[in-house]
Amino acid sequence: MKHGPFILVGLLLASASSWCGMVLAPLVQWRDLQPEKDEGTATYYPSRRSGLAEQGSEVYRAMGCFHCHTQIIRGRGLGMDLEKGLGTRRSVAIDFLYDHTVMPGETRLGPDLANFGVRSRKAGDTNGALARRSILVKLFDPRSVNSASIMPSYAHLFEVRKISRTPSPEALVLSPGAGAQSGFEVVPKPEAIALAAYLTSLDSQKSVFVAPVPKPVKKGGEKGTNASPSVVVETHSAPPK
Amino acid sequence: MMTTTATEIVSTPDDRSGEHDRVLPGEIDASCRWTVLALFVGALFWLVAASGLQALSSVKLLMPGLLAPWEFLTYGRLEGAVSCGLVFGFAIPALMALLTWIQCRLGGQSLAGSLGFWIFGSMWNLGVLGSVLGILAGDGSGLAWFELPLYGAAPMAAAYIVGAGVLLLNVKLRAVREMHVSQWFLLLAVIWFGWAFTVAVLLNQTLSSGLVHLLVGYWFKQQMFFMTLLPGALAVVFYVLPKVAEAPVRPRSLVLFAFWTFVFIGPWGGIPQSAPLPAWMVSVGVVASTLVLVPILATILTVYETLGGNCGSLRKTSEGSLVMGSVLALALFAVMNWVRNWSGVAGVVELSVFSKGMSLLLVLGVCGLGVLGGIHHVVPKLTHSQWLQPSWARIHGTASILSVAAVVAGLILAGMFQGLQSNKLGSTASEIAGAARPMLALSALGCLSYFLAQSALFGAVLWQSALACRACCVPCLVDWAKDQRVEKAEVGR
Repeated sequence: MKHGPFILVGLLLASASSWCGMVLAPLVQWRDLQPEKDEGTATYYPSRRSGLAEQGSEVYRAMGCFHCHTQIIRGRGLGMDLEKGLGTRRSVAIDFLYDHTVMPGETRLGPDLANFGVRSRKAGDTNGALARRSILVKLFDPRSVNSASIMPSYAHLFEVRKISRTPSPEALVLSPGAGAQSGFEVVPKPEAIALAAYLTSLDSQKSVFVAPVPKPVKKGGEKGTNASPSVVVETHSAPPK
Repeated sequence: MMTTTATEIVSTPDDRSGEHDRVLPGEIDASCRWTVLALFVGALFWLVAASGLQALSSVKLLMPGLLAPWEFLTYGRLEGAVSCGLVFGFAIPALMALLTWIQCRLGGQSLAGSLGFWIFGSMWNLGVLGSVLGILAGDGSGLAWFELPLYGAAPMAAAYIVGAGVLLLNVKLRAVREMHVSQWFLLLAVIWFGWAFTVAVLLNQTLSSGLVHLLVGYWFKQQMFFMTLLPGALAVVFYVLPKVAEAPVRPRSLVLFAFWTFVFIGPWGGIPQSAPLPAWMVSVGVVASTLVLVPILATILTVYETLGGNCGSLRKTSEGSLVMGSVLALALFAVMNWVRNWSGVAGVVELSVFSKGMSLLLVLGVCGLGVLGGIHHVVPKLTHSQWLQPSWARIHGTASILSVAAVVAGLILAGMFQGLQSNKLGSTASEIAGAARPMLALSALGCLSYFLAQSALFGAVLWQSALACRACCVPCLVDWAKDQRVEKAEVGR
């Protein structure tokens, strides 16, 4: 090839077509992406996070948590996320509609967090306070919760201070040997509280048009399936009644 | 033999218009010397810094308590800084330096507009410094492999426009009109990166939607890896290979086919199957990742034909070994990139450290080894002196190849074990991490040895540059002192 212009035109053509196909086309497709209304509860999904949770997502980004944790549920045939109960359906774009920074992650060195807000709540924890407490303890000293955890401690998000007249109501309740010396308490900084609020806000279980949640049916006589104990997928092979 | 330029090898007499204007290689090297050496020193500094941080982050994965109280050294921040240092600190400026020198040699011209390269080098390195410090301080963008904060990315984009503009000006001013295979890939890498980088920075700053950022992040990563680092490495390979093998690039039609199929297929891949994007995009990505095997295999076949099946000849020199390592890494990458998209395999390896292993195979293996081979080839020519100890150069080449192999093999195998364990019902996060641990240890070992090998190379290039500087400056100083003495003597009379 002698002619630089010929190469230039070819390169520009190829780069422009890939940009149109891989950036512009999905943007056009997402132009009308709107929250979906759940007819049963008359609520919209997704809803905006609280201000505190929004701040927490900034802490999540700044700490680089997405390098170890994903927020992606894979569909059937691609891993066992649904079978393991990590979610009720695969993750889709609408789940991240209001996120200022979308951090689905590429590597799952720790647990997936797409539905962590749901998973971390135990029965009776209606406002998520208990879940936030347990998250804060894990952030301060992960191995006090699970001795085999490879998660690093985020102790810099906490303040270890001398107990004044009365202990702080926000001080962590730690297992013996995991906390500060006697006479001291571990109090989360605002960043830790925001991060815990963000993590408990993670919930992408709702059914949406492009990824409906399979309706649960009662189990019966289906031995040897890989389906999760609570949800069995309806198959289209069943004759309509 | 080594003095024959690649242009002479591929050109027919009819093609060599402007041949009479050709500048001698010695003069070309003299015109490029300090510009290219300065870019090399900056790039190698970032390679040492990034590989040191990478070694630290890989050890932290095994010992999570290590340096835990240091907020700026958390694993997440280190990973962002490593990717920024490796790609933007090392790969891009090193490729720019190599491509500049290759262009001057193949174009038969002295370097024009060296000031533009100095502006590029200083602004770019300042941008990288700002970005790395910003990421360590928590200002990363949240997009993997594109975590640059705006205050780092903006000067880098401006710097790149200046640097790439001057390089393209040199392409325009070439004395030898016939373009060598290396120059095709050079043009591809330089133009494509400029386009993708500026567009990605602008889109991420002007549009506020997180989904747009995610989309741009996936797109930019593919353009950077496939359309910049890979063709940049191929430009170096197709320059160094004929020199070392003493044979022209052949068959020309095959490499031409590889080039254009690569240009039109390459940019469409790179979308993970689990990405929350429209399903058609994922399908297009899978098809492109499969089809891109064709140009890559054509490229590898070209390399094989050029060598005439005699790959052993490359082992004689350090640059030959490194370039061959780069080609082997490319072959491995092409096959694994294809296999990872099979549905059964994707279910195991996706969202595991396998992805990181594949990224590093491309960055450190295909591009890194190619660039290191280029540095081994170019630095002695620029400094007019052989490496201090030629055997050390071979040891460095071998150590680099083995280290990259350990890093990549460790991560890929760890990813497989992690994925298999992850797909067992009832397996916990700790069990999944435990399954990958032994292979992660191998990878950490590779990171440490890679850091040591590149530190040695950085020291050697600094030393060679200092020697060249002395050789250049001392005679000038002696002449100047003589003139001063003569002047004083005349005044005294």
